[in-house]
Amino acid sequence: MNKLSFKLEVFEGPLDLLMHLIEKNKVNIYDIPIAEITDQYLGYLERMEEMDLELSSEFLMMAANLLYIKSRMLLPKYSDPEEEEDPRQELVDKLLEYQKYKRISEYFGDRQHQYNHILYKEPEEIELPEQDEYEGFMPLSVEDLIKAFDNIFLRKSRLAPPSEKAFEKIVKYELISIKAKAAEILEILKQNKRVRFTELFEALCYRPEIVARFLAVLELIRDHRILAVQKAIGKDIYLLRVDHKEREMGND
Amino acid sequence: MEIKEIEACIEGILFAAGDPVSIDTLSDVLEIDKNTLKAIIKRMIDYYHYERRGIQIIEVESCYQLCTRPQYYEYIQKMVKPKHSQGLSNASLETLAIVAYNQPVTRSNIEQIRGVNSDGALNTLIERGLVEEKGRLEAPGRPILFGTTQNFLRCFGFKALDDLPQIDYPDNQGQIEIDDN
Repeated sequence: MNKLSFKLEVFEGPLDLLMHLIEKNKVNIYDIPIAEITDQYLGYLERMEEMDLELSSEFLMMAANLLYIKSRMLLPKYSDPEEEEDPRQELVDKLLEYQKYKRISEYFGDRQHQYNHILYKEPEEIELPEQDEYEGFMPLSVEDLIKAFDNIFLRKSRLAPPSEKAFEKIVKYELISIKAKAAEILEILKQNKRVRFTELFEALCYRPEIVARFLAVLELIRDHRILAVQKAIGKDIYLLRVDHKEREMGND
Repeated sequence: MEIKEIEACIEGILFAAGDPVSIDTLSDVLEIDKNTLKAIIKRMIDYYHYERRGIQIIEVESCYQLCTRPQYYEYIQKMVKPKHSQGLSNASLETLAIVAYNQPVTRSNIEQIRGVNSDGALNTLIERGLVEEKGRLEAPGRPILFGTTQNFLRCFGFKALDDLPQIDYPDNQGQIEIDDN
């Protein structure tokens, strides 16, 4: 016999297989001939094994369950039959519940074909003309900057580092060049058009480094290489890079 | 604004948006109350239907979206060659049905009803944006709860979850029918 001569339907699970057998045999779900259905069910599993298909454990569990129900049906009933629950009841409930969703899934399947012929469009990417970002900013005096700097120190001191003396023996003071700090700031401004004043100091906690960076800010402002602006008093201070054109204006 | 203008605005907005636009957004943008807008859009929907236009407006959960009419798919696909999208497998459809009617549900709820492990099917549904996480159940292990998405409603042509068909009680043979009107 040709090994590939027969074809098995693929079932989603033991309940799917049982529903198939019930429909094929045209039996009433409320009165399943357990012995007959169990034989057919086991026959199916055997064929699956012959074909070397992998059986999931759920199929085997259902087989055990069917045999258990079958055996209970064979036992004589001593108690009042009215009182004792039909051993098939649990299975019937499960089948009814499963069947419900199987029907819906078939309905969904039809609907899916009906509705996947509708096409949608991707959203438009709308670009608006850029507004002048610095409109409404006003130039700042050195006093404002010093005040802002004090704020940073205040904030840093609130973070309360572990007593500095504890580190003195390990870490020695490092020499920090203001020129290097100035270069750092220019580099930051090259990447971002502008930067919030406080942002420049956020990552720093070494006091001389904070001071050096601040001095570098002052020097850069003096040399008209950067500009410090603020929208209103008390608002965030921003540092901007001065382009050539603006630099000439700043020299006035 | 004249009604004609309003209609033109809505048409333009829906075209540019592509995605569904909520009635609230439309109301804010056009500065027109929602009920009037709904009536106008309803008229537009009817008009597109009546004239058998190539586009239509659909409603999903009080959002509106412009899309093509399925009747002309044949011609459209000749032009665009859509990505090959396979329909969902039976396992995925069963899982989707369980999620749709029982949401929010956990993995084990689904497995109990289907009688088999459904992780693969559930993952497919999540990947396709039909099902998503809807928080966690306050029970031991805090299992994830799943529910359907707006995309699910759209893909299957439902306006809202209430729109899902009723399921009749099984007949005396235990057979179940779907009541779709």
